[in-house]
Amino acid sequence: MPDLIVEHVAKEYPTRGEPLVVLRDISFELSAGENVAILGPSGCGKSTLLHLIGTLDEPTSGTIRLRDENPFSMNEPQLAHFRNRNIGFVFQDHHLLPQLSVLENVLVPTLAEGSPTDEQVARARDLIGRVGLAERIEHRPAELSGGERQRVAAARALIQNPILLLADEPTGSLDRTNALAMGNLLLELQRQENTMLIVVTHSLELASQMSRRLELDDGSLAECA
Amino acid sequence: MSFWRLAILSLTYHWRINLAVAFGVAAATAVLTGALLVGDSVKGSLRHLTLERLGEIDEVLVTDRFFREALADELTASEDFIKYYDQAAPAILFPSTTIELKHAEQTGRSTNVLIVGCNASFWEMGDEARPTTLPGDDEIVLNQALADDLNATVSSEVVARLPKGNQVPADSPLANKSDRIRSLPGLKVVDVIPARGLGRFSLRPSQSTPLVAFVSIATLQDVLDQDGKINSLLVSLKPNISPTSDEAQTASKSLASAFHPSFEDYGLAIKRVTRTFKNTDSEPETVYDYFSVTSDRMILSPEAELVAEKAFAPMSGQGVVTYLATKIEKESGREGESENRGAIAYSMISGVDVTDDFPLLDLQGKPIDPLKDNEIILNSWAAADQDAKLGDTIRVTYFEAETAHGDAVETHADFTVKAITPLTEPSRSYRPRREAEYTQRPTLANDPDLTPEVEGVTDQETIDSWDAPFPFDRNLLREQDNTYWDNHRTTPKAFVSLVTGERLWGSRFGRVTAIRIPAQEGVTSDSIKQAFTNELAKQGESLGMDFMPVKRQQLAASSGTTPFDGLFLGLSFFIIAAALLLVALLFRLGVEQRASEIGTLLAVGLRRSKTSRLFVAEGALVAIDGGVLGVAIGVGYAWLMLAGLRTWWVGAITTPFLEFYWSTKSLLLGYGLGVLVSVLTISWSIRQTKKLSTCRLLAGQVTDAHDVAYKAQNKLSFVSLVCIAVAVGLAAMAVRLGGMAQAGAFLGAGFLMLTGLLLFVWLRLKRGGRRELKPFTGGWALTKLALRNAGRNPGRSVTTIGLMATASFLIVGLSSFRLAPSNEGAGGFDLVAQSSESVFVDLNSEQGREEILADKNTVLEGGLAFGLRFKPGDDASCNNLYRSTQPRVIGLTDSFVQHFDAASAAKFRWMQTEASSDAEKSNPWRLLAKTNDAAIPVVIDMNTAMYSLKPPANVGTNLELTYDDHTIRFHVVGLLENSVLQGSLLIREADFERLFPDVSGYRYFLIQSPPGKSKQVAEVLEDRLSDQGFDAVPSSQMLEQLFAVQNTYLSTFQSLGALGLLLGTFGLAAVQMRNVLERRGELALLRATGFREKRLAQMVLLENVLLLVGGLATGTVAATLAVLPHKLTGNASIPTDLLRDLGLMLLAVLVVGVLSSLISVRSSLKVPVLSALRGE
Repeated sequence: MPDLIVEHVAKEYPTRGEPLVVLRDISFELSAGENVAILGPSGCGKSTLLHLIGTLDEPTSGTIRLRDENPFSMNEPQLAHFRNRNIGFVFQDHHLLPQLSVLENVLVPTLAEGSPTDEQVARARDLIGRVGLAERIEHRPAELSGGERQRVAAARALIQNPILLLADEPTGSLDRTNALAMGNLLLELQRQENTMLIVVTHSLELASQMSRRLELDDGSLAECA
Repeated sequence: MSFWRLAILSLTYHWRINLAVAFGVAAATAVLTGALLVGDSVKGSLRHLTLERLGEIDEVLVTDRFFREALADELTASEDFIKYYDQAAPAILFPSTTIELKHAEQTGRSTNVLIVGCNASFWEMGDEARPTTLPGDDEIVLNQALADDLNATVSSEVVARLPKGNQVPADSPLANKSDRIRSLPGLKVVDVIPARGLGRFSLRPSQSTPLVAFVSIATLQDVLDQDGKINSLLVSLKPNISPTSDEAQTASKSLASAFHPSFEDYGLAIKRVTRTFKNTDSEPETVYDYFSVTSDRMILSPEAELVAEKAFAPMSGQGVVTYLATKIEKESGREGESENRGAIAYSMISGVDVTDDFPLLDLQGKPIDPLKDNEIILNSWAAADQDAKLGDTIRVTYFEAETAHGDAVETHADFTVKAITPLTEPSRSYRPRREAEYTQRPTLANDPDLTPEVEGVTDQETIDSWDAPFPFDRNLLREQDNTYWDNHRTTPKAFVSLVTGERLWGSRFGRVTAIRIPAQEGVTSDSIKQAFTNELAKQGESLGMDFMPVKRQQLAASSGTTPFDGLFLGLSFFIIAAALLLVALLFRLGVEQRASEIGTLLAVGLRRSKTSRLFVAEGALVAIDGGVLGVAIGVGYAWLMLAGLRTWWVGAITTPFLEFYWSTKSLLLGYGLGVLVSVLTISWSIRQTKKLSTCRLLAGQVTDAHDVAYKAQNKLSFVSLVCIAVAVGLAAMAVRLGGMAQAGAFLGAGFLMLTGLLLFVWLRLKRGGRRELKPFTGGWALTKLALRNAGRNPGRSVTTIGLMATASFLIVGLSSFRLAPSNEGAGGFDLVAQSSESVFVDLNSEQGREEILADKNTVLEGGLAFGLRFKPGDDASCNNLYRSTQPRVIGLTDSFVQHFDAASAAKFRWMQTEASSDAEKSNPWRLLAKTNDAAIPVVIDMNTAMYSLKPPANVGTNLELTYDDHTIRFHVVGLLENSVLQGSLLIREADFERLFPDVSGYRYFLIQSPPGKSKQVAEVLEDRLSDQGFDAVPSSQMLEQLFAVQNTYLSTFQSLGALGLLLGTFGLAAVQMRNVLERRGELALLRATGFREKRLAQMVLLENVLLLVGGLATGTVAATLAVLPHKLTGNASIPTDLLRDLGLMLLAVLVVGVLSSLISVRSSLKVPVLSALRGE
């Protein structure tokens, strides 16, 4: 049974006139170890879909089940806990806390429900090593390059061993070289962690690195060739 | 597009943040303007009170003797008077009397009541509070304050107790001490007038409502046997002459020249003393014929004597001093001989110069040569009585010329008989209303007029019937003594030289009892009087009969002891600082919001200086507008402060008299200062952006990760440590300072401590947390994260902490200076008492206690009661807002000083002394005995020295103060600290007696009751000394009243601190809101990574609480360290209940802060996660 099941998901936004339909009847499935790129022009609803999958937003209709759980039936604390334990995010804007070091930034998700354990600290160090920033572990975001910051964000996304890693334009603010490296890193990490990876991107180059590619057009999702 | 247009467009476009800045400027301007207006209001209100209580009265003449009422008419008829003055009202004033209400159901007693004996002309000098009916015979009008104090109403009956006038000085052994008070019983209250206008008439500058009673002049004249006489004149200038103008000064001179008291008005009398003898077969022969000038007080005052000496020198005037010898006896050399014969008891003895004008002849009829110091002339009766011959030794026993506590002390002097002068015995003795008659020629020694009149003595028919004011032992009287009195009355039995007489019987009240002027051609009573008044004018002496420009003096005193504008500016310093921090903070926030705008301007080629000027110009426009608002708010702020001073803080001004006054100068000054400091603050704020690169600004970034290099941080760490070290040193130094210097040092120490600590906190935040191997582990993870978040923008966090720290510093630091009554403040005395009239007995002596307390004399057993001399004057304590020019003076007896020699005696606390020897250090009161030709040693309470005297005094300072027309130089030898003796100058009794010879007896008392009997002692003393208006209050109560001023100021400051806190809270809310806005992406990410709303709220709240607690802790630590040296040296006392209040206040600060934090917490929860994550 797939770990992620998206069924007939639609998303509408109310307007003065007719509701604005952003997503309509979106369905797809994903299993652990799989990765997928969602492509599409600006404003087509890629990020909206990602946010729905990431439980940051609620679909107008349809269901999203992660490991057979429906997060939208949960209350706010349950949902937060669910997200903390199951989903990792990487955004175009890394959203690192400038006052924290690399290590501390990676550990931030562990603070959602308490203090990090020794194991979590060790894992954070490991992740930082794996993203190639072992030498920069005590540095602050302001002392890192854009690519390095995004790598920290990737490490942070994985600190809680999520089953789903969501990346929203992770290379959008990087140059080509860094973008390529970031794509490789995400895939490498996904493989190592055996998670599901969904990447929303404009970049065909990044999308080409993924095993599946879905294109969102006019609110509908279709497999790319 | 011009520079200013751009500034104005920016101003209007960013109106929200600029409006916030304008409010900040308004707050600073309001506080500045308000403080200045409070100063205006205090001065204006004091001035108004002066004008109100004096009405149209500009100058007054108040004497301690009675003079003719007709003098008022004579004065108003004078052209010199008419030129400048409008009217003169006669009055009888007694500033310190007692009034009792005795009714079947209730009793009441008020002491220190001003009784005004007046007629309609007095009320014409005031506009308000005129009684509906003027008091007639046996009627009285009370002001409301007195009626309230007595619980009296219209138709109540009261008793007034007044001092008798024109009396022999009470400290003379010949003075009657028990009959010095006259009572006016059955005075019916016919009206109670409001304590407004002349209803609060007083000659003392004080904002306290005086207790005043009004009776008719005739009533007082009648009861005091002073028909047609008054003791005061009140005059008013013409309405067009301001009392403070130069013309008023000219008028005063004119008034002095228009005022012509008669010889009798000075209490002097002139009598022609003539004795003639007519033998049956011869023409009448003059034995002696001279004019005798005497005083109604038995002895001529030193001032009058000085004038008389010079005036009468051309007329061969000569002084005489006649005194009472309790015994005159020959020293026989053989024991027991004199006892068998018996001493001559109770005789008069005169000190005279034997001259050609006033010769004395010996038994052979030859003039006796002038006497040497140890020589005596006996009259023939005395010589015969004692069987004395030339060369014999005569012992004269007499009372010392001055008494202490009414105790007449006997002493003696031995003389050698130089001559014996004949005394003729009369053929017929004295009888009532009949002189003695002689068949033999009387001699020059037959002169009873050499003796002044002493009521109860010289007017008696027999010695036996003497109502003697001194210890009178009738057992000493022999038959022949009574016979002498029958035949010769007050005729002296012996004579010594004038110099000797003055030495033995002269006193501070004077040296001579009369001046004799031989009758001679051209000398008449009138010419003698004229010579005297001429000499008075020549010497510029007035003998106490001079006018005092009371309104001018009080208006000058209304400038106040404390410059309230400066005081409130000082008090508001932290609020002003808080307001300016708020301005800086808000303006900086505005700048940060517009960082990319600055970057753009720089990118398109504007120079940094011009960009800065643009923002400063915009800020200046905001400040100019905000300042206008601030002035308006400042008026409200001042009004609120005054309302506070009239109600909650009334302890600072004693009575709620303040009204709102303003001046254009204060409004303009407040506005100008507010705008200026705000613009300077804004300029400082914009300077901060100069460190940022154009690229960062273009990117909208306003922080620079590398803005302070680690090397620089090290330097700043050093600066931080230096600030803290200097603060501690300064606070330690402040212990040794006083007054404003101490306050300044304390504030300076606190300010430095705050600066040091804030710098330290800033550096800590800047450096971030320790680079831990296992960050956030081991609990407190959220707190640690919140702490790190607080370091995200160290400047902003420190600004917030600074605001909170300032408020808590103010609250904690000043609370530590609150005063509470202590045993040391009262020197171990549990009661402080004052009487309206003098008490003459020593309450520490068994005899004194028996005399006063009678059957209750044991109540003081084991206790002490020191009577001290008291010269009434201005209350120079903190309770009086008027500037004190004539503080009251207390004369400390030797026994009081010696009391503190005992190691076991409770001591006063001294702030500073000139003590050098161990004895002086152990008992600094001994310093008062240090002889200093140039100045009188004086001890003052530090509060009087620092705040009431202008200029302020310190140990070693020489003060020059004018009392009774004489300038007296005092030398401050010690300062008491927060004592019950605040408000007075404390000098040695001997100095007191010399300076104020007219003051007799004791009116100020410090009492140490036997344990547990304080209330009982007070009740018994008040009862037994009710005629004297004895009023005892617990010293703790008095100290509380005195401390109330300082403590209330502290409350005021703390309330202002609370206002600073309010500003701080606004700042905190603004900072937190800005933080949330800036971090919305981060907060959204935290939500995305699984932070629940509650946890996120906890984190944001925790961040804010950390800033709050950091601020409170920083302020508390700064205040504590600044006052610690004071506390350790025992100078600061923190009562236990205050610690509780302090804790509550800080808790309130925390709660208010947390409540304001909730706004930002709410904002953080409202952050739209998706758009924030997208960076929208």
